[in-house]
Amino acid sequence: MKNSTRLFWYFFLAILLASADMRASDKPVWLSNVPPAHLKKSVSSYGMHRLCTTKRKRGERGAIKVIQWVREGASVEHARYLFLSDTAGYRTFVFSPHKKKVRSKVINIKGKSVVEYPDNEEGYYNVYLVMKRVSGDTLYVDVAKAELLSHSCRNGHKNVRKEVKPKIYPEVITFEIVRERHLNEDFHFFIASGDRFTYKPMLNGKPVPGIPVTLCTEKGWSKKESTDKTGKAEFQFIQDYFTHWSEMNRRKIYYYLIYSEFTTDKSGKFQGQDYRYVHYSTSLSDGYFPSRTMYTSLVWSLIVFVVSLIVIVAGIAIFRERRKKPYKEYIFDENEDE
Amino acid sequence: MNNIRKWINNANVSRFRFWVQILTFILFVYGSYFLIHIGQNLPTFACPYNPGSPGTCFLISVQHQMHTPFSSLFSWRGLGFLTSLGSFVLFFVLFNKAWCGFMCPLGTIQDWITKLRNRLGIRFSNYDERSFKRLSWIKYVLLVLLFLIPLAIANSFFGLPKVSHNMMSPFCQICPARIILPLFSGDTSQMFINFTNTTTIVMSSLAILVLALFFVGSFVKKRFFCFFCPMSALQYLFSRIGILRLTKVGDKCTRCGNCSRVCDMGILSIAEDITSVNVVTDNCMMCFKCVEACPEEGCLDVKVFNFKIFSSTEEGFFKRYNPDGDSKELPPLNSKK
Repeated sequence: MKNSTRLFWYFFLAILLASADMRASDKPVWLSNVPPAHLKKSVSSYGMHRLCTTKRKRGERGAIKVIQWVREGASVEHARYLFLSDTAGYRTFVFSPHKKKVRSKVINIKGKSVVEYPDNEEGYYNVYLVMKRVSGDTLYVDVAKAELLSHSCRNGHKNVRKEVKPKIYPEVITFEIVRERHLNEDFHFFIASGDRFTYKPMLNGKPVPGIPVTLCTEKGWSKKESTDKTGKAEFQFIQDYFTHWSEMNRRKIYYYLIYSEFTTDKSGKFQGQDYRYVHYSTSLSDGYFPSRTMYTSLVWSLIVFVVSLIVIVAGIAIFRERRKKPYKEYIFDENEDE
Repeated sequence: MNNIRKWINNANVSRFRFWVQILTFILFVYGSYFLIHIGQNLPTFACPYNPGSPGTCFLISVQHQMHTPFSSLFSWRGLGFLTSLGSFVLFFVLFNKAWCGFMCPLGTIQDWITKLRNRLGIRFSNYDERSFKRLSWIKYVLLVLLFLIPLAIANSFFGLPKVSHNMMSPFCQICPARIILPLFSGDTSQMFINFTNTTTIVMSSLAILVLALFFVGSFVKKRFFCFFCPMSALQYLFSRIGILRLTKVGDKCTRCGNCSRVCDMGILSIAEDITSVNVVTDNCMMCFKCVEACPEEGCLDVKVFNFKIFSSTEEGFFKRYNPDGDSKELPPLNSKK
């Protein structure tokens, strides 16, 4: 009886693990700038966009090493941090703002994997983690992407308009999401909650119409859209609301994740295994600030302006009035001395 | 050559200045729309908060660079600050304080307000000598704070707690250029009260108060804000190395007082000082109105190095201030207009 009970529990546990593994495969893999809570002190941050970096020793020279944490799950806040073993079948690609391939690698920090690359140029770095595996008759191609804007005002603001343009690399990255830029974007640009953006999933450098795109924010809001005929999906970020002033921190960067996936009929061979379908999946993550309208007020500034104007004008008028001397007539008697 | 010199000395420099101001206003407020990029560390209010600005005012660079720990500031990183300072000095040396008189967009706006006041017939005010001397210090205090506050954000002074990050770029937070210049590009986003916390509420309210003071002050006092401008104070520290100079030959001065009466800044020393050769003071904006109004031959000169480019002449004075002609009128001694 005891043995049969034990067998039952083993069997039950095996089913549970298998289903957990199956569910895990549906979750997007993405690159995050946020370290796990218990490792926050082991890393550092760099530049205006607070890119996560390895901690430098005192006096250490050379390029700053930016790291991006590999995570899995659609919940930005709770997605788990992954450990990639050497047999996981992944490749990393990092391209500098000037489209040069940068040497990158996956390292493990206390059991959590990160993509690491040296940062020594101003502008957008494109960081990719590509994972391929065959399961059943399907080849799964997962591309986790991060567009990381490297900028420190100390380095200047040259060729800003050119440097902020999105760049893609279809020759090595088959499927990726591109965020279209706003006209006013520069090195100081940050997405704000409430903003509207257009995203374009690109397969081999071409937009893909009619596929689902899902956006999730750190505050828990998510929205699913389909790409239109031109292969674009437009999202308006929901404006995050803060119940108490104490929750509102205009300098805090919140993060969002956008991902898209679809399956296509395409047969081939990968690492000796045949497949009939290819399942493409890609993700992109970035930061955003709370909306300015949450903490600034134009109306109040106009009220303060008008009140100040009235007080200052009244003050000057009173000052001038008080300095006016009453009219006095002096009559000189020329014969007075006589 | 003599004819060219005579033509220049008889010219109406104020009219020339008026057109230069319009052109430079377009350049510094809308330049980026014409794909012009002049550079950073400009010795004038080319405000980066304005989307049309073709460059960056040096004061914002300084405040950014001072926001650095001492250990970094006094290392190789300090070279960044020195490079910025060098670039500021290179820009400045060319035109000296004429950056204020001819090119500053905020100064130009004040001159336009003065013209409007003249049209409306409102009288203006001048500071008495005592107030003039006392108020002149304010710009130096602002200049020192502009360096110290960012330093105190990144460093602890005498074990005291660091200043809040909300005080970053403290002068920009209260500078009227940050609010006014974007308005010319149709951007009202800088006009706000920031309710994030007490510091931001105070600083943004102070900015609006300074804005109101700017408008009312410019209405009752010519070039009101220039008197408190830390850029003017910083420029004066390097004024001696400027290649554009304003000099005076004291022996030729009759102390008629024309120069100080036409001075928008109300500088008395230009009339009273007959010993100094260099008459550029911290409040001077090198508009050269004094040279125009001086009737003494070669008493006041504008020079590039030692080469005279514009001198006071009797003929030029009468041509400009001829009461029978269509030219302007010199304000009488007790003028308030």
